[in-house]
Amino acid sequence: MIKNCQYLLLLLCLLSSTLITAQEDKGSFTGGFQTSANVFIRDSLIGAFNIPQYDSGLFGVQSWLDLGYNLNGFDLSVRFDMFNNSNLLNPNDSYTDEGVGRWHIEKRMEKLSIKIGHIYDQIGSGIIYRAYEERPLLIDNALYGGRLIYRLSDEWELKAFAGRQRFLFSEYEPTIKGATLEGFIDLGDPEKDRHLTLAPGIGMVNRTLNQEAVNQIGSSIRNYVEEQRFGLKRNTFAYSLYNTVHYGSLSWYAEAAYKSGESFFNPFKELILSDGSTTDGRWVREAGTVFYSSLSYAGNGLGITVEGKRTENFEFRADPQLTLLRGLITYIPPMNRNNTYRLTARYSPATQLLSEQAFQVDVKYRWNKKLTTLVNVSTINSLEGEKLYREIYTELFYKYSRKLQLKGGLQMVNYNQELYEVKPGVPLVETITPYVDILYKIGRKKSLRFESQLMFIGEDEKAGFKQDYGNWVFALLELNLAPHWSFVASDMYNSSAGKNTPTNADGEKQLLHYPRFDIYYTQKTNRFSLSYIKQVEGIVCSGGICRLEPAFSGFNFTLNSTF
Amino acid sequence: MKNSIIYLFGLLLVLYSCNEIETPIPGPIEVPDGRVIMIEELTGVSCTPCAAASAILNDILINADGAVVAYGIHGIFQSEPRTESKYDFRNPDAEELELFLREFGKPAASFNRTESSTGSLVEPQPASWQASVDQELVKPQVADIVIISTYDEATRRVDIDVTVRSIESIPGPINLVVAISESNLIDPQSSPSGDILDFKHKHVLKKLLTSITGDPIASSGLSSGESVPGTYSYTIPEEFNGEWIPENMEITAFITADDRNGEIQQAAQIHVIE
Repeated sequence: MIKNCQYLLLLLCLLSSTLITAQEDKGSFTGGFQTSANVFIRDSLIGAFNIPQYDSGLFGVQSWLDLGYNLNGFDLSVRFDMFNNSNLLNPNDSYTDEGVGRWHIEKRMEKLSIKIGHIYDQIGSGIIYRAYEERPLLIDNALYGGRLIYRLSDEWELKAFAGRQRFLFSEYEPTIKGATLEGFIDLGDPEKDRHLTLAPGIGMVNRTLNQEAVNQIGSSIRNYVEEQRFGLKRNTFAYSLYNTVHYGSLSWYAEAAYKSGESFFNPFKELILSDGSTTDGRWVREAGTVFYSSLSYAGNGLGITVEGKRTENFEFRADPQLTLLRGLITYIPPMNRNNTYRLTARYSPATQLLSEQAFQVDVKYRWNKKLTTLVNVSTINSLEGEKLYREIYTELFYKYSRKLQLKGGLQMVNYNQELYEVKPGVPLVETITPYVDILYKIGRKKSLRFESQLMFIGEDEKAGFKQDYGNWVFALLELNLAPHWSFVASDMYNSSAGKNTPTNADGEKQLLHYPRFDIYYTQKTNRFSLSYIKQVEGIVCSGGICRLEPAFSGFNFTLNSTF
Repeated sequence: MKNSIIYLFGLLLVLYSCNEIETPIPGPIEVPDGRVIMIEELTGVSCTPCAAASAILNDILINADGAVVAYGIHGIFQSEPRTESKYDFRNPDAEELELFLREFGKPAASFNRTESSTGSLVEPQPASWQASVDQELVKPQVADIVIISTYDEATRRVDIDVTVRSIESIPGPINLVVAISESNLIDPQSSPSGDILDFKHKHVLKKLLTSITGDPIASSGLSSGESVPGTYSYTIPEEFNGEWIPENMEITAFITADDRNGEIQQAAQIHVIE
């Protein structure tokens, strides 16, 4: 807390001195506030129980207040974070803490920019380094340190940074350093429309483990048999070479990344135990690679994107002992469509860091002013050829009139639930989901939207039921009264029982409704919402980073405000 | 000129990653004589990675040569029996303990109930369990625990006498936890390659004879050399289907100190029938 106060005082001092020295330019002051509060209502039937919030806490809230001030090339920013009985860090637990979650001071000069504090940044597409914030998953891995950017010319820029990765209100011990050189080359004729441009870049990141972390890994491999032991190193280096080529309507991005041999836990490698028996999973020291490319075309009503990716041994964290979403330095782009409808988003694949080979094609064509179609195909395998994910997604958008718009399509998914959700012995989930979305504008300020999806799921022959939770029906009705009000009512109904459908006291499967009611009120830049939610357990993903969220039952209030 | 900058930058990056001298693997740690630490393993027969975690734990127990004792908590998450299971290892004490130690997933293990830097009571990564053991083992021994078991074959009743003797003074309230576990239970365990039908489950927690945080045995701490007794009894259910065999059962006792964040100070484990 004392540390936090020191940051605030430092920022205030700098702010006042800047104001005094530049009385004529008043600068600009910006801010934002976000809060989400939950009231937990125990519902043991859907699995909303056995976490502190349902048993005793009953109420949880998390809030963020961002303040920023910009003056004379100075950029000052501070963010206050508060978690009170919050389930955001661990959906099965309660977390309470508060303080200064982030601050930075930046000065931009003609050629040089200097920034200290908490820094968000990335190299290339983020494969060797990405520091970012993703609040729904409580990922905030800003670098706590310093960064210099020097502009060599109008086209070339050199960047270097060093620090430690943030975790909640402290930092992990290992240090991270990095540098990039990025440029822009225009090979076209300025007189012509079609330019050939290149945006090449080269980047490097070094992570140095603290001695304690090295010793801990050493402890773990100390008892390994001789042939599985390896020497320990404190430093790991990751390099990336990337380039974007633009020519007319074509754009091609390619990136190759290499990570030097480092210690990490590989759950698929065999470990020989002291008694000669074996088990799965051991520490190894191996190098890693990622190759990623994306080719896109947009023109004449046609939009095509083709992507490919190959990942091998690219587990890269602030400390190799960290797991799940913690300490990630790497961010490997997902290779599937970002679905938004309730049922089409139900089975989303998490990006695999050790072994993945994936392709995606997205084709969109606008036939005329009224009709647009889209097809997206994604396929993800392990490097050993194991089928992880398949998706075929089609969409048809038809603008019947100014008042009526129709959208509909079909999604087909194969999802390796055993791997993605660590559910033993379950078959590959197979779903077919037709959906429809109708928007009707009642008047200039009123509109009504209806959406519905039906999910048909495959059979789990071993269990004698349908897979996972079985079939689902989802329907939503939304009334918008611009500019202030919006009302949404929806229901997700488990129409046909699956293996995981809850059972009653007599052991009979219960086909349950999961209703949700939302009221949104917007007043200028403030948006309030109040919701009643009954939600089934499921995967929550953001950019290929996913976690399994337990069922939720209760009320939720949110406020998003910018000023 | 621009190309030169790129080449120079690339060269600098490569040079920067010159070979580093390897850090030698640390040798076995010095364990103070008599120091015994407690591992509470969160596991489950339907938890796929738990099979490997149990093997790692078993290896730790073998290598520790008595300095580490453990029981396995089959509580709520992924603890439901497999289709071919003969046994259901879940019980109310295990469920309560799992909620007390709670973690996002399994496997996970608590080492003397010490909090990690992230505030968690458990370490979720089995690959790092040996490191957690080492961190606890190097701490000085502050107490000694002696368990004496007297088993009556006719009544299947076991009388347990526990004596806690402090080696150095321990401030604040001290609590004693006594637990019954069973080993050598052959039953299916989920694993990445499918169910292992003849998996040997060890140290399965069956019953707590105290509360999960322990029965108070010294309200104002223990001074150096002071001893306190604890007496418990337990009637083992009738043998059924290869379960509840006294020869396979263990008694575990450990003390926690309220003024030290409830951390376990010392542990001991014996067989019901030695």
